[in-house]
Amino acid sequence: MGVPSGVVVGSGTGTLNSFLYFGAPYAPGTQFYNNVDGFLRTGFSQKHGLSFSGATADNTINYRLATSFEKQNGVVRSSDLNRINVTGASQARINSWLSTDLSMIYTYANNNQVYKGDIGPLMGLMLWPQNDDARNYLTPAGTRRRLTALVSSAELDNPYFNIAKNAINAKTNRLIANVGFIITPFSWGNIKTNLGTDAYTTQNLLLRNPESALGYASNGLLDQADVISRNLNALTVLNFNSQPITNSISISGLVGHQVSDAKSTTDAQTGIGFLDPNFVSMNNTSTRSTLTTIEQRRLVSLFGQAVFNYKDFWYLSFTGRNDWTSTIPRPRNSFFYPSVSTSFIFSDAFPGVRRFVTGKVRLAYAGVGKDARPYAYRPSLQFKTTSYGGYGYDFWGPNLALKPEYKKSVEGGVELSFLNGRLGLDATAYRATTKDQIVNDIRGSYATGFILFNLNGAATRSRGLELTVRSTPILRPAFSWDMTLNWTSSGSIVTHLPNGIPESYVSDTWLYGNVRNGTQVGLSTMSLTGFFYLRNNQGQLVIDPANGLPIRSNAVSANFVDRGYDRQPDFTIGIGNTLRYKRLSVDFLLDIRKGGDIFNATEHYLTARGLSMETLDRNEPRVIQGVLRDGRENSANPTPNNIVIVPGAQSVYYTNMSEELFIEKNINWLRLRDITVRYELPGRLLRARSASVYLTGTDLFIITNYTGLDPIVNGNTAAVGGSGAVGIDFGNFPMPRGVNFGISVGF
Amino acid sequence: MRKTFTVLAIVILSLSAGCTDFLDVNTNPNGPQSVSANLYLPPMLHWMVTSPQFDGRFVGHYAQEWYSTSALLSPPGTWGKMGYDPGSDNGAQQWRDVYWSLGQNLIDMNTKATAEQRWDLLGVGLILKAWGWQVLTDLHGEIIVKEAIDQSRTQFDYDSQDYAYQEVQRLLDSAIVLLKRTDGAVDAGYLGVGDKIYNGDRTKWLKLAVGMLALNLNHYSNKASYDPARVIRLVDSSFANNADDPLLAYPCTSTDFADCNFWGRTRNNLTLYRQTVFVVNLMNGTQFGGTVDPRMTRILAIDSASTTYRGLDPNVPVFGALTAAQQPRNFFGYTGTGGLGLPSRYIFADRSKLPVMTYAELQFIKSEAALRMGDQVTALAAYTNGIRSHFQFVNDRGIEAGNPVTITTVTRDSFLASPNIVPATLTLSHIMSQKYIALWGWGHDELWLDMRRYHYTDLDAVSGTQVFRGFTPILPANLYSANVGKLVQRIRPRFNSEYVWNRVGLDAVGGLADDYHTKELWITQP
Repeated sequence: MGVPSGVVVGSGTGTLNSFLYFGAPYAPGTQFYNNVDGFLRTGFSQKHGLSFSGATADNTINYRLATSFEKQNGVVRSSDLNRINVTGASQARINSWLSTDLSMIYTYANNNQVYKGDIGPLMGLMLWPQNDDARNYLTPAGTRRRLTALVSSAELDNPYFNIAKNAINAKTNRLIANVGFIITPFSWGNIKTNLGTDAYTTQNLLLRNPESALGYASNGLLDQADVISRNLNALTVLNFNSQPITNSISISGLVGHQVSDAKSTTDAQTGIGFLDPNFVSMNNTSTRSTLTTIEQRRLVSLFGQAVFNYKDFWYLSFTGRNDWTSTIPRPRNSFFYPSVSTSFIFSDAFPGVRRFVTGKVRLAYAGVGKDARPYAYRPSLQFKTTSYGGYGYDFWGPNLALKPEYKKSVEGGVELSFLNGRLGLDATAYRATTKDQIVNDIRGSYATGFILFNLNGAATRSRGLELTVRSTPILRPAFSWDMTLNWTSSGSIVTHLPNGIPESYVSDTWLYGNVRNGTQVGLSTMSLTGFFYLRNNQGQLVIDPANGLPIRSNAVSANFVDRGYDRQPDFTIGIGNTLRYKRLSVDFLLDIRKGGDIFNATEHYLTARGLSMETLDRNEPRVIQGVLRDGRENSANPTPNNIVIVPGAQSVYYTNMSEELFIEKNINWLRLRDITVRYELPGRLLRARSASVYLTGTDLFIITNYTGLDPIVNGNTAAVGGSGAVGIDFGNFPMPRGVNFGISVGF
Repeated sequence: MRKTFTVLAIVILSLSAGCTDFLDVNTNPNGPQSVSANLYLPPMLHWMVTSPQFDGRFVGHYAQEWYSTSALLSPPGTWGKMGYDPGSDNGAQQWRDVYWSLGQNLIDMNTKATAEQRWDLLGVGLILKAWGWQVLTDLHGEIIVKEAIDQSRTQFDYDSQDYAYQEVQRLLDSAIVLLKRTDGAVDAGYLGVGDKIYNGDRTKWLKLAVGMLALNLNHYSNKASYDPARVIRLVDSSFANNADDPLLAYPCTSTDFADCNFWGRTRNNLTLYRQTVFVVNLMNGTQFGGTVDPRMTRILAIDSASTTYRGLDPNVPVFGALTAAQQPRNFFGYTGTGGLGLPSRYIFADRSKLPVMTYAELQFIKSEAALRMGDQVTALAAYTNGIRSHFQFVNDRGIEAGNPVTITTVTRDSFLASPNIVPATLTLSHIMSQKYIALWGWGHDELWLDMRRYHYTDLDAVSGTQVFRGFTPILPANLYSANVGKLVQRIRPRFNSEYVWNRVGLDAVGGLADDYHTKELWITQP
């Protein structure tokens, strides 16, 4: 592996100096191992369920009891999910004016995952030298086998070592209970009350073994976080039955009240300095620290609705709702938002057209208010872990003028049905604007005394168009085919940012290099910003005359810039089909997307290390298209670049490549999401009331112009707010193909 | 029945509007809004000592204290060539700590201390404020002082360095007055809860304030208004010996290593750094007529073969032409990246004590001032004191780092007896070169300002030798491209604070220029 002489000799026992692949070609006759194939396995899952339901003869009481058990083993070894579900529900009519219903759902889930990004096994798998058998990850003494002379924390983990010795685990116990009453004391209305609770406890564990790259510096790292959450909800609605006002107009409505209380407590602990390297317990750590985080939010609402009905074909409804929240300072914590909507069933109004078409037209205007996250407007002191403790302010500064954000939307739609329901068409278009949108974690000059602020002041404009076509192309006694096609196109643009800040971004999406989920005024909310190559005023690359390579933008004279990269797709189409032939039915769902950019960070990472297929031609001399930075680059006659470079000799060609080259534009795909073939067995076969067998395939194929592993990627999880890390692909495993087989029987 | 239900319905619905108490759950339960005044102090004292070390990685390259052997572009290719990392917050940790770690916390603490008549705590608070403006203006030149710590602003104007210097003097004058008071609620026990540097002893804080004022006034050495006599008087009322040194001992007990020495092996910041040929030549006799400095074996690192002390040339990448056996070890004393969990050296252990300012430093300041006044006797006495006390400092730090073999008094005295070290006629080059050794490794802010006061390569008028003996700036061909051939004179303000969010303020002082970092400071100009 060609590296410059005089590289620091580390404490590793291997002979390599790095995982860079820019040296001489492998000698002929070198044995290569297919490390990638052996690493993944065929995942196996099973799901079994049992349910009972019944009722008394006069149907005053009915019940349903169901339980299911699920065990999934993922395609990556050591990733799995076990889940148990128990559901019970019952409804009873107590007497003439009181009915109740009760339901309880209990879930237990235990999930083991693998790390993502450059600390994950996928990257380790790709970087592992192919002339070494990656399965051999332990030395005879049972310690981590290392290939390089680098210190432990600088050498990427062997993928087998990573999944065997590091872990991510989450166990969740959840109970959702609901009690409802319907009281009908008068003839003109009723009262419905619903009390619900959603309580769950999640135990998270993150383990980094003392010998792994991540855990070496602290001699092992164990993180545990127990999240105890309890959400309460009480909803009471007084319904008024429809009352006629005149001959043709009647009115109905409701008045309601809702209280919700969400509280979660997270007890987190970190332990370092493992005594025994392989025993996983907080008791096995020599230094520990803890942190407790409590979050609570309460919301009280009052709402009402009035619906006018003209001859049963024209409806006009008004709603109003006032929320009182705990997270906004008084008096702005009370906010009111109305909505108006109307729908007109023209085929009932003009019965003549019913021969050709039935349908309705609707139009709605709605306003919605939203509060902030808890503790957002007043700074509090934080216990500091620097020498000798003490207190100091956290990052967030005050904003005592915080107010709720507001969204106004207008939506119109048409629903049509032709040929006796054989063909249906729905079209909806909407436009929405938000104002005073709260942008969290806005940065400013530190001279304010703080680093981040939660401010109102962002505004966005979004638009959407959705078309659904429902059709039954073939309808015969023995054979039928239903098809539903759904076409969606939507997007949002930022129209205003608070404090005139040039850019807003979510720091959790800054996963890789100098590209992040940043948005600026006038850009889509799904845009990407970064430090891209310097270009002259005609958009040509500016080349450094010293080495013939393009120059990354000097970040002092250019901030994170926008070059028109946008992860928002142009449109998506879902096509669902159901074919039935006698006892056989086939359902399948096709998913199509057009447009939208994806940042293939994995490919950049591999290219910078000489592993991507793009680098095969490294010994070919080439001239990069561009103009020389000789002072004339912005004149009318820039000097075209004529410096020949051979990347194989100048590996900085690859190592300093801008991430910009790896943002793949306009990614389209066609994928078969799932297909299920089901066969109804004759009941008497198993002495059952009903029985069927089914075969399902998921993600069977995808046709796409994306060169990475899978375009449906999210660099992070859904817990990252905003538009998140969707469309940023770094070290993500692709969706596996799945085949399921099952049988369901009813007695 | 109907009536009951109607009443019930009305009651339920009316409960909502009146429940203000129910919604009053937005007081953060995870951290208090206000605490006892002495609890604000520990993090601020921690950052006063630690923050300059963060930036010392890069200032140390400018002053050729060390050179990184990293294969990456930064720091050897940027800071190591008198440049900077564009788009990065590197080199601006003190900006963050003065405006945020101190910032509003310091204002709150001072307000409470004033209200509670805790004059000793208020004095310490004013010392911290003065320290902040001093280090920031010495690093960055123009900084934000008048409009600082104001949450209602989004744009901030910069103030001149002249104003910043006067503000430091004003704050230290107030601190000196306050620290002399014994009335009110002055209480060493209360102060000592938060003060782990002097354990609540206000008389020592008083000496520190006086010492900081001496340091500030000594910076005017290139100006006509320089008052060396006053500097000498102030140094004389400051520290009396090493026992007055304000030292912070890092406990290193936290799982995130935030309370460990920044230079320790655990935090892994110094592992790839090696000494430069400049600092080696100052101590191996090359620059001092052949007299080898006994401190060299305690401060600098020997080569892998354990035979000679060598240094790196920052003009060439990594180790240059040195063979593996010739390459100097890391500062912990081990080859390569070794040293984790093992004994260390000098100030490079996880639990070392680092100073804000030392007695030796003040003695060299006094010596320089005296020499500029023409007072050879005072200069010589202070100079010798400075070296002697730094020997003590080296011994003390060595014991803490796990190296119990100290330099004996005999060795020290024979070093001081050499006319190469303590000559008959003292020159500025003796004083400044020995001051450099005393500040090497921790006193980066002052060390670099000294070099800029002497324009890196100024010659001593008396002897004709360079004031900083043997210092060779980066060759013009190797200088960072944005310098356009000039040497670095300041660090650009913190990128993610100023270059993104306060460009208007920066533009007014010329801060947006690519070569702003080569613009000379006001204080070093006549």
